Amino acid sequence: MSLAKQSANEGSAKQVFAKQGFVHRPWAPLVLGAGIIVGGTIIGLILGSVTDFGFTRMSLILITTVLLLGLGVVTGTAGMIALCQLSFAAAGAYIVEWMSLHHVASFLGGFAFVFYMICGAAFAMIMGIIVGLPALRLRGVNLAVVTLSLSFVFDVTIVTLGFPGTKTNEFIDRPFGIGGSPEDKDTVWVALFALIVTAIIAIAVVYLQRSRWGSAWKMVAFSERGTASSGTNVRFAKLTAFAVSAGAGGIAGGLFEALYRQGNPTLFGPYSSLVLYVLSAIVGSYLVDMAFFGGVLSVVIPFILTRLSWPMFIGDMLFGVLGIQALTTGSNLGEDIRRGIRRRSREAKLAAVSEVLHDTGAVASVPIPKGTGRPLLVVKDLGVQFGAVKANSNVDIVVTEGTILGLIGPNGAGKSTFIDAVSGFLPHHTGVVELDGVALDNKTPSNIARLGLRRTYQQDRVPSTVTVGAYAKFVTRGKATRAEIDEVLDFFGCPTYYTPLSLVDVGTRRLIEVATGVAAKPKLLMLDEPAAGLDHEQHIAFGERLRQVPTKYGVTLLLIEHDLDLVRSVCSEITVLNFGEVLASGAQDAVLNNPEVLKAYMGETEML
Amino acid sequence: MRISKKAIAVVGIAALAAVALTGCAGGGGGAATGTPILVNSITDTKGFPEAAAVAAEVFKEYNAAGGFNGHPIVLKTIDAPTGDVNAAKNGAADSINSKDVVAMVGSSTFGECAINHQSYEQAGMVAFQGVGVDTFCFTTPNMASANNGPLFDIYATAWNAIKDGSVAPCFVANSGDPSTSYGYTQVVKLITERTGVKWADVEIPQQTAANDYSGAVIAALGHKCDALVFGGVHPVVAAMIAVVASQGSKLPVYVQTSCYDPGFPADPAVKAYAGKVSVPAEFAPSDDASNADFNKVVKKVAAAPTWSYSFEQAGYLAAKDFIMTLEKVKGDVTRESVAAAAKDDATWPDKNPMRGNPWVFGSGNEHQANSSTYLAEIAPGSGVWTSKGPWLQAADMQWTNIPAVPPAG
Amino acid sequence: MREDFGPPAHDSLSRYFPYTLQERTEKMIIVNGFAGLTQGAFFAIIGILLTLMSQLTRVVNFSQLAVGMFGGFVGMTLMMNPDIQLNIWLALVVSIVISAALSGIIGWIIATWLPSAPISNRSAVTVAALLLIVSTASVLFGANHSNFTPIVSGNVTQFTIPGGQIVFVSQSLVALLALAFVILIASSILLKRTMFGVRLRAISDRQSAAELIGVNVKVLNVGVWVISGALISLAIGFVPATISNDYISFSLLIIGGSAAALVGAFKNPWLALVGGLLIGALQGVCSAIPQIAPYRDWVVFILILVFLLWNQRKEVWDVAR
Repeated sequence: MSLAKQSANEGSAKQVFAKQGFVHRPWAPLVLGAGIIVGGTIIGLILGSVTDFGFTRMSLILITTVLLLGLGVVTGTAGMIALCQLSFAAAGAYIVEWMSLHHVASFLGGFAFVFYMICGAAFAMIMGIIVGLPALRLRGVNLAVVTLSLSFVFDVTIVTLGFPGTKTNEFIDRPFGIGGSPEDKDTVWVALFALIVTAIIAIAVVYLQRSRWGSAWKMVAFSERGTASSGTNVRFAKLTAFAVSAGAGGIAGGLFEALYRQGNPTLFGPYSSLVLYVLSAIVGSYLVDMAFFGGVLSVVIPFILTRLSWPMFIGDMLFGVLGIQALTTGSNLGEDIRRGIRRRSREAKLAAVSEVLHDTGAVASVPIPKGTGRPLLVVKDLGVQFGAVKANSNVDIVVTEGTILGLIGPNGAGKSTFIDAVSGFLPHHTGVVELDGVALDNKTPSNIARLGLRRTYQQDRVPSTVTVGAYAKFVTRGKATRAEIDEVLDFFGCPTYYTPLSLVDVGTRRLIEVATGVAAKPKLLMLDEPAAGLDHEQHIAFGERLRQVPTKYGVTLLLIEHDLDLVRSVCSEITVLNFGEVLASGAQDAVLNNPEVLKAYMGETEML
Repeated sequence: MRISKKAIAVVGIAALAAVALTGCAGGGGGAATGTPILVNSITDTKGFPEAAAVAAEVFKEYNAAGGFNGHPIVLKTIDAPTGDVNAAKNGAADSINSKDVVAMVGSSTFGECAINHQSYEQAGMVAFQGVGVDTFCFTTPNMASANNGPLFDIYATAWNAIKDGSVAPCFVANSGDPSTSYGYTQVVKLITERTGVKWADVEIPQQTAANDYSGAVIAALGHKCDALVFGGVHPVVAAMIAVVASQGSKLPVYVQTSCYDPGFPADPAVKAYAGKVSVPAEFAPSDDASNADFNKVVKKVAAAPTWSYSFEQAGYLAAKDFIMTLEKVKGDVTRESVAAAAKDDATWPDKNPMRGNPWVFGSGNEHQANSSTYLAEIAPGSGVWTSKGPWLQAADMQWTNIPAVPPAG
Repeated sequence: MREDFGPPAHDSLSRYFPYTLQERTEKMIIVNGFAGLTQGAFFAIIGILLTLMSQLTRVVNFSQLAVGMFGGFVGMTLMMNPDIQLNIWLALVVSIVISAALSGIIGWIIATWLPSAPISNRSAVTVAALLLIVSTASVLFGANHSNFTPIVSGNVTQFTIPGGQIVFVSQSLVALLALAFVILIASSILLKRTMFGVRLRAISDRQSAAELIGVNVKVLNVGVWVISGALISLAIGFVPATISNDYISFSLLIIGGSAAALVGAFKNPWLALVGGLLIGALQGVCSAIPQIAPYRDWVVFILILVFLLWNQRKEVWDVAR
């Protein structure tokens, strides 16, 4: 591909992306969510006034929506199994009831209840953090066991303590002087109050999900390692998700109090939390509209059963069947519906994306960077042992600032183990690792990333649930402006800022991983076979871009690569690993012509 | 039999889907000609279905015989599983919002009175509880239960133990809410004040999802009790008796009326027990002639073999109590006129022979409407209840009503 | 709060008691702790089965107790039906067959649709299965006022401890412990000494690799599920009548069992045995002390959590790279 054609292609690439119509619509989910809630409530109000649906049910739909929105953050977005959502609701309800009965803030008038609800939510959040701190060190299914146990012991506690009002047969006042009866004339106002609260929670959850916290939750669901090596503390990401979810649970508990005016422990038992989790999985409750739909299901199905005089448990049977279906197929109603709606436009956009990538070509050619001569990364006597296997031993490597070091070797030579050890994932390695004079040996992966040592992965670590821009923002951690991110994406021929990563193929995602890694401006970026998904022409183009990185962006590179053409075209120095030990190290020519290297490595796979 | 039930369930799910799609809704219909008198029952249909099922059958017969001045009584059962607070709340709200529902009859869901008593009071609706469990079923102006309730009943249970000569009884009863815990502690005090007998031990474990009270029973056994007073429903008490047996004891055990059904003595743990088991049954024992009509009615209900005889009797009587009240109504049958008739202290007919005392709703703030018990025992290993009698009245035992929560102040 | 209200009620009741609070706390600790071992042995069996399943089929089976409960109710219904009155041993066989089949179906669903999904995705399915089974049991079997009939009852022996209390060793405890050891020893022989076991371990390590060498992964997976369902049903047959069998609370005994499995970090079934027995004994001891009896589950929960944190302090990262 000629340079002329290349630049022409670049122009057309931009045009194609512009034509794709991936524009920023910050209001879109809001409008969708708010519209569905408001629309649904209007329908509910009409239903409630003309039939015996009743406003208690409408209120319950909204309360369940809030519970599911919270649960969606922790199970849907952050990918954890949490089986104690109603324990948080119980905590919130308990606080609201206690404060109401003790008139803690009665000087606030109608807003006193709102204040109590906020306190309840705060308490639930604190409880979430206290439980989360130890529990979130446990991964995946252990967390499920711990949260299920928690819901059980918390149930015991609430039964033992009893809600404050049940001890004296007192009922709290509803907010804003709403009358206290279960009749429609009063509960219609409760439903409206719940609507406003639900709308606020929905908006808050949407914005949180689009924030860097939200990206971190999605990232943690996809890959804990990927999260850590982007400089985000995995436990912090999980804890924020758990706390936000608990806070929403606490708010829902407050709404229960607004509706029922007195708590009842059986409302919050472990079985109910199980049902809620399954419901969340069925609908995909991290989506606002689907959380509302989940609320509708949880209320309308029992309503139909009541009308038919059928047992309530049939509703749970239905949830069980749908839950098994949803969890085995890994899909949910929300995604299915969205996929259905978008299929057509998506296919067109997908075609455009792949066309652009095939057009990606070279940029102005620069020589292989020589560097400043100052040692940036110094690794001395590094050793890693898995059981009896020595994956790395006595590895000494120095990366000079401003250069691209190639790390090569046959499969299983210990290259990726080396990166893992240096980036902090193998804390029990021996030897010394220093970056710019700072020892990294006892630091966590996220700290190491923040100190300026970043890495990419052989496997796909880019979550498909966010846009390119959200991912870039997450990875760069505020180190790059929007313009800089756009520039780097463009430089590497990546899709534009608002492109959903779900439309991008794996090879391109690897490219995006490299580009965003560069945009984060680390001192050293370690690339683990970044070009594996690219064809030969793309390889060459990619190499020409890599050569510019040290001078253009001030980022030193360490490159693991099998394609020796690429290595030869970008690396001034090369280190060869074999059986976990350094076989050869030094200038490109010297290493590649070293007979030892030829014998041990090249001979068996590729010819020079 | 079960297999066909399963088939029905499968067909049922399909039908539910079909009905939900077509948007139809079912409803009960009466055989009599006049405008139906609507009553609702909030019932755990998969936990305690007996009372509502038998009450519905009583109304069916009543309607066939002409109903109330030509108006059939239609009972609608709303399912609210134990622990499903939302279902119980919605059931009450639906009943209250539907102005044609004149009263609640035959409800039996664990804790339903505690959940809904305030709503019924506000709405001026009276409730003829089938099996009232929590203490609010007996301490709310608008509620009167067919059964005698856990507090009166466990008082009678303890009374029988002391009457049998116990000088150091132990008390173990599980409680699902603070109100019941409070009630039990008051019963414990009251019985000591009345009889002078001190308890060897009192254990009131909280009812939790684990539903296991072995620890409390063993702790009690460590106090050299000479009799055991157990509170709880059949499975819980049978489990408690199994614990007693496992500790090598054959102390006499005194259980609550909820255990008075043929299944209890036949329960393997009870049948194997080497000691005497005694109950103060709240209604006439099964071999009593006064049950003739009840037995006839209950045969028409497709009762499962695991159903409780006592709860069935309660449902039968709740329906009869409602009819009795209805016949006192002056003018149109409305929610208000039914409530007025119920709260009227005068002109209640003589007692139904299935009870030991005349049942009166009346104007009081508390309603221990059923306040008599009939002694029955299980001889060790016999596998059956043996009626002993005689009727024991509240006054005989110097019983005084216990409030649901501590009096204010 | 008024002083004579709500638990713990014991202080205010002092004038109705012939002893002080301190006396009663000390009396029954050992007896209660020992009695707790029976339930502990049941937790241990659940924990062992959970551990073996987690090792062999990469799943934490939350529906395990529900599966056994369902089989038990089918058997009990046949026993109690006046038209059938099935013999208790036949009823046990029916229970085992039903539980095994039900377990196999869940296993088949997971093996078919989620063959290589992460353990948490596979386990999540069993949460939904738990819900389905509990609600189906409620609808099908309805009002239940009877506990499961154990196939063993009575005591094996008794001995007197210092202080004069008598400790009883129940047949249930002996039977459950024997079953636990049989499962442990048989599984370790099976896994280490037989071709079947070697294949099982192969699929748990490298599923795709095992497929490549011609091992039928799905059949083996479902086989483990079937055996586990049968074993839990057999164990329920030994469970003493001191545990009442409400659909939900019985199914949620999985919480105690999974806590036992957590002690062995879902890796070591022997530690799950120890964990189960410890949890049972500890709960028994706590229930003898009225001040902490209502919070005895917290005691266990916190201890498990602390143990787990200590046990897993070194592991930080999700997958191997």
